[in-house]
Amino acid sequence: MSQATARIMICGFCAREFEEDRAQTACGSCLLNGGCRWARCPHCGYENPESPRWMDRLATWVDRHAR
Amino acid sequence: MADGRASCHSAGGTGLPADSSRLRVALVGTPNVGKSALFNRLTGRYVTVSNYPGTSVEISRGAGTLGGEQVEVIDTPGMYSLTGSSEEQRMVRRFLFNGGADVLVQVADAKNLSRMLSLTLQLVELGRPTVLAVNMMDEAVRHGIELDVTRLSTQLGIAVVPIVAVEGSGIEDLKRAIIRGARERAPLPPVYGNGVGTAMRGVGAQLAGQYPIGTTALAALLIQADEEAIAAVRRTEADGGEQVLMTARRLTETFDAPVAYKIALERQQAADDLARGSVSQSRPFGADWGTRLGHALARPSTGIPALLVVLYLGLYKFVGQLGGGTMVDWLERVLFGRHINPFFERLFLGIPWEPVRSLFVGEYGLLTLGVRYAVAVILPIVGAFFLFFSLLEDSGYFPRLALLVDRTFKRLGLSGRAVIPIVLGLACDTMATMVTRTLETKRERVLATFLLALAIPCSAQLGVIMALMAQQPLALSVWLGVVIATFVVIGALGARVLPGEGPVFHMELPPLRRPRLSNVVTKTVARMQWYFLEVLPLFLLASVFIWLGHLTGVFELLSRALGPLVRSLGLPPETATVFLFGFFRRDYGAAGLFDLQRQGVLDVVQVTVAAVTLTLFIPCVAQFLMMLKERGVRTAVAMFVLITPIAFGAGFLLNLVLRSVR
Amino acid sequence: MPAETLPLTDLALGERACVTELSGFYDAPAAHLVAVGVLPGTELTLLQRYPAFVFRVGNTEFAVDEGLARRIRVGKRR
Ligand SMILES: Nc1nc2c(ncn2[C@@H]2O[C@H](COP(=O)(O)OP(=O)(O)O)[C@@H](O)[C@H]2O)c(=O)[nH]1
Ligand SMILES: [Zn+2]
Repeated sequence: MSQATARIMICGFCAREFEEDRAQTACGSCLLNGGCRWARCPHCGYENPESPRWMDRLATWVDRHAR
Repeated sequence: MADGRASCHSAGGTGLPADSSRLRVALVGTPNVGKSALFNRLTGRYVTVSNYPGTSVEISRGAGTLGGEQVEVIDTPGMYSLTGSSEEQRMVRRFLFNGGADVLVQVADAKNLSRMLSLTLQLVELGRPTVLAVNMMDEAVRHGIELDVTRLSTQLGIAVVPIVAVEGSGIEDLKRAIIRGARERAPLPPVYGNGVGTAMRGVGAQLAGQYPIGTTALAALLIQADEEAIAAVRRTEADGGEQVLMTARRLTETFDAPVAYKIALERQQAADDLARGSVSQSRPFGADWGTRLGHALARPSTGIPALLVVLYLGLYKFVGQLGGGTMVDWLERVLFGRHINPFFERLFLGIPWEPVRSLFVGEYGLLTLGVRYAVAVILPIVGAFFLFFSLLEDSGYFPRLALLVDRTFKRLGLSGRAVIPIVLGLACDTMATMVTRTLETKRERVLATFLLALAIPCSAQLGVIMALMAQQPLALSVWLGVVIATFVVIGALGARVLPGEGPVFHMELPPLRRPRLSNVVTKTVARMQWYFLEVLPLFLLASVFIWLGHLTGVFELLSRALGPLVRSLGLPPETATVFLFGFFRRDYGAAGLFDLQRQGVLDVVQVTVAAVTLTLFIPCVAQFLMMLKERGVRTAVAMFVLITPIAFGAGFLLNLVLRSVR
Repeated sequence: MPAETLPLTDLALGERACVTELSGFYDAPAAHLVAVGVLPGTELTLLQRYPAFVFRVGNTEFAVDEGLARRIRVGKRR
């Protein structure tokens, strides 16, 4: 099975999908500290929270050990 | 002029890097049909994105291998029709007209094929090798849609390949079809029935020169008086095209309605016929629960009661009572009260210098106040709020909210689309202020920024206020009524004061869906993590400032200066501190208010007045900085100057009214 | 061509019709519609009129405000 290389997100507002790296990340122009990770939907402008990396790793780990 | 042949406006002439030895495959299609997904499949996603010369429209190019052959894959911006005046449409028209691609691959959504086929017909008219990739077959099957590929392929005269781009199925078939398409003869143009079809054929027959696009397409463009097409005919025809251009002009005038409609209508009719013949749907769309519930939520008669119930259960019961009541109680009393604070106090007991000790464990200590506010008050409340928010978000409810509020928002000079920043403001006003950028007009951006600063409480503030008043539903209704009234009245005034055209509202409504637990959890945790990472340092910073202020006496001075103002609202002097906190961060101020109420310093009227004033009062420093950045100094300062008297005026009046009613 | 055309706002709930014209085909508000695929010839069903007009095209639902709805002219099925 070939893996899609980009992470796909579904926008929480317009329900369209987009690739995470095609999103304009808000952090660049954000005044707050760099702790935030948001992905702005290219279709409607809604800011979607990106899942933290540690959660992805946790999910993979759980998947692997669940069986 | 003598060499007026296709070569003079070949791909090279457009300024695009053209590698003539390679086959060029262009992906064309309406937006959101999976073009990018297919592009990634075909290219392995090492792509260069370039702007088409003279435009800001992006096209991506990538290298791929089809049947052992190196090809160039070009992704074009999504569109429904080649005729039209948007920048994208002009760009793609120019690109195709200049022979920018050898094979066209239209990507279409299998669930909406009849809406896609009119573009297919336009592509076939171009007379270039074309392949139709019917994508999202997985979803179509789930919707009970069946597709007669052979029949469609025969009728269109091009290869039709069903694919699932995200899974990669059908891709090999598609690659073969592309290679075959490149070798085969171009498809015959479709034949349209009535007057328009005859006219197109008539004009087409008069064209003698060599063109990079088919004569049917060219004829259609000529009848629509497309400038690029006319220029090409002038260049290419031996007699400068006088004859044929005159015929086209005469036809343009004979049609009563704009000819673009006639042609579009005719094409769509043909597309519908094609779809009717080869697509069948066993289950009618609109019968499933998601669609029906979606309709109910979008109608005021059922949607507004449903909204109220959801807000009552979600905000009042869950965030206010469970998050702000039960959870905060436990964290404060047990975790901090019995364990953490005593531990820290013992730890710092050894430090002889009182000011240093009070920095960490005093009344406004970093650990005993800053950390306690962040962890024991804000975290459970905000966590509960984000869980509720993510649940609504994941169910696809927000577009319905946009629809429901559109009429009201129009009065405020906004369109329903402005619920995006407003709803995000309920999470964090600072972020929402930045999102106002996505609104269409400057007027809308200014109005939305203003309303966010004035009347939209952020998640922590909202949660704390729910918790503050969880035992007093009446006070909560008063707070809600005043804030909503301010939002609407001041918003309407703002829309009057700021001249400009009203916005237009249009939105696609995606079906309602069952929220997925994993999605909801991930989004909630992501939001909490973001919030916490942002809020904790600022809370600590605020504690340090307050400590410094105490040490130097500045804080007392400020509190005393605020004294008369606070007294005029009928509030005890301690609340001056809360307002000072509030300016550092709205949520810090709200947490301070929460603390005061739990100490029993405030009565119901005072809680209500303080909550209203704090909600309307100036945003936290971070939001004000964002306002400066997004709207400029003058606008931001003007907003500050307006909001302060509105907030305190509202508090003042509310106090008078409530006191006299009691 | 359908004999009579009327604005979308005059259509009854649940009625199906065919888009014949978007007044101002080329200017901004109508371009929004064209951009999402509501083109002349498209068949639509009106689902709701208040607080905004909701119609279905194929398997997709759209909401537009009254101003925009007025500019969509439709013809009832022949
Ligand atoms: N279920 C399903 N979803 C797909 C398929 N192809 C694409 N999608 C999804 O639809 C979304 C929109 O596609 P995208 O490539 O962004 O569309 P574009 O706007 O045409 O470039 C993608 O992000 C995919 O996740 C498919 O074959 N099946
Ligand atoms: Zn979106």
